[in-house]
Amino acid sequence: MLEWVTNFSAVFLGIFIEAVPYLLLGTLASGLVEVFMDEETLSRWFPRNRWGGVLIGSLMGLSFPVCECGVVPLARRLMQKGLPVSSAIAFLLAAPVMNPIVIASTYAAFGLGAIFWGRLGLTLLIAVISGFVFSLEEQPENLLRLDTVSSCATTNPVSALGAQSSLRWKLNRVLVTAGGEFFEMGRYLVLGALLAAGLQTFIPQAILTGVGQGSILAVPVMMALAVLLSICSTVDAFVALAFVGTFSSGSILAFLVFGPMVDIKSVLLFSRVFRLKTIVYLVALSFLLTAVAASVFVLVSGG
Amino acid sequence: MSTRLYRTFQALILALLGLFLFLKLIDGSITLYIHQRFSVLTGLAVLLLILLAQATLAGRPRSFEDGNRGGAPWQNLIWLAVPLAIGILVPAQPLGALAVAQRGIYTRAPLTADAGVEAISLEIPADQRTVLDWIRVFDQSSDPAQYLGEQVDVIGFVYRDSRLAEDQFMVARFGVSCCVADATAIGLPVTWPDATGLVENGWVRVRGRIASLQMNGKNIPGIQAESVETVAEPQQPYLFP
Repeated sequence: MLEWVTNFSAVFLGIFIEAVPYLLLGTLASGLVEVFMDEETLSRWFPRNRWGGVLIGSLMGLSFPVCECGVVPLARRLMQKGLPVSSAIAFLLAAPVMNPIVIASTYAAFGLGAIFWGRLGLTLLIAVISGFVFSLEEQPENLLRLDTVSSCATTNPVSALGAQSSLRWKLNRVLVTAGGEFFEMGRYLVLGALLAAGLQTFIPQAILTGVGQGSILAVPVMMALAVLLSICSTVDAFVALAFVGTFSSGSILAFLVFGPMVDIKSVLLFSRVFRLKTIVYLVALSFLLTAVAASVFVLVSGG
Repeated sequence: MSTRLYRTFQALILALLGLFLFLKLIDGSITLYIHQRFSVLTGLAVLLLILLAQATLAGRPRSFEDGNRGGAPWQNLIWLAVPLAIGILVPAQPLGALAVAQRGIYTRAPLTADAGVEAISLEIPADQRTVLDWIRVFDQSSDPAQYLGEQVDVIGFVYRDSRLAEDQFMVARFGVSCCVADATAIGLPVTWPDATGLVENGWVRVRGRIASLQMNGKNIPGIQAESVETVAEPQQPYLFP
């Protein structure tokens, strides 16, 4: 078979197979939230003020080991259970990095250095700032797609069937919910993987790497590469290592911070939950904050 | 499409995806797509897919006459069938010279910042080191010249790099950190009088000694070949740092 066809297939399936376990875990977590968490629990212990809500949102990822594929269905489910939209956005941006697996893999690849702490700190900062900006929106429902807001009608209201809720039945509902969500979100994973594989197979990487050798220009180039490669945050630290020789640390940092927040897969997943305007603001804000912070890093550390 | 039929197809696709991954795992070809350390996770995915398939099957409404599709468009089924179709129709083949032309090839690429892992390459006897081991060895030393004259016995595929001379070629491998999407081509330049007679993308075994070669006007460590013989493509062509 033609070499480019098998290459395309290898890259596409590589991305898909690598991401599938995390997507499944995310939909499972989402199913568990749907069945076992009710709205009162969330509103009872969740902080009321803006900053608190956004900060807690960013840190929630520490208890959910998912990458960006799993985080979107979960965030949507939590919003339906009453999580404020601004906190959900902070969670969405932070969780792909602020979770045990990614922290471990970043440590494995870079050790306890500037890149490790820079990644965690910058991600948290950007998530909190973005969450705060969105908390200024007076009517948070406007940020979401109509079918996300009214989704309560389409999912089975488990609380109403109190009497029938044996544990076995509940677990079954978790699986059925997860299955449905796997299909709903999975198609974005497939589309994202197809696009990334296509870009990789048909565009010579030299075009990008050739442009970005200079220290500061390397920052947006690495961010573009992060979007193009669309690699799950759980392992992108190892991928970034391949570029350590040729690119500045600041640009590597930008790759590690921006990639988990925004790439082909995640933007497609966002489109399922948020309005276009929200997504545009989200992407632009993350891009700007990452670019500025990474450039400062480059200037301060000398590359 | 009735909900019952829709759910049946969903369960089928979930089960087939699980089966596909399972088959790839047991015949070892999964490493043509992802790094071997993810085998466990893939196994977990197989388990979850089967569980979801079973639950979806059991949760179907009783009759086929129900007109409500459960609110989901049938196109969703197509999307998730795509990886299945591609996986079945396109044979699993490793990346080769075409991909190198696409991505570039590196003679220096640590592929891990963990000094402990890199140091292991130093402990391997010279003639048992792979292309990746050699690159790590050079990467760790301040003066690669100390390795001049050491025995080399590596396997890789032939790649003609435009930066090299007529009697030179790259003996190349792909290193995969996570999945094929990040595969990085690494190689050592080889000096061999009959370089032009070699088939590009063909697999060879290069035996010789470390020597200093010129590339792009710089001196870099490479191989002065004493013998170059064609070999079969290895079962597992990728190197996993």
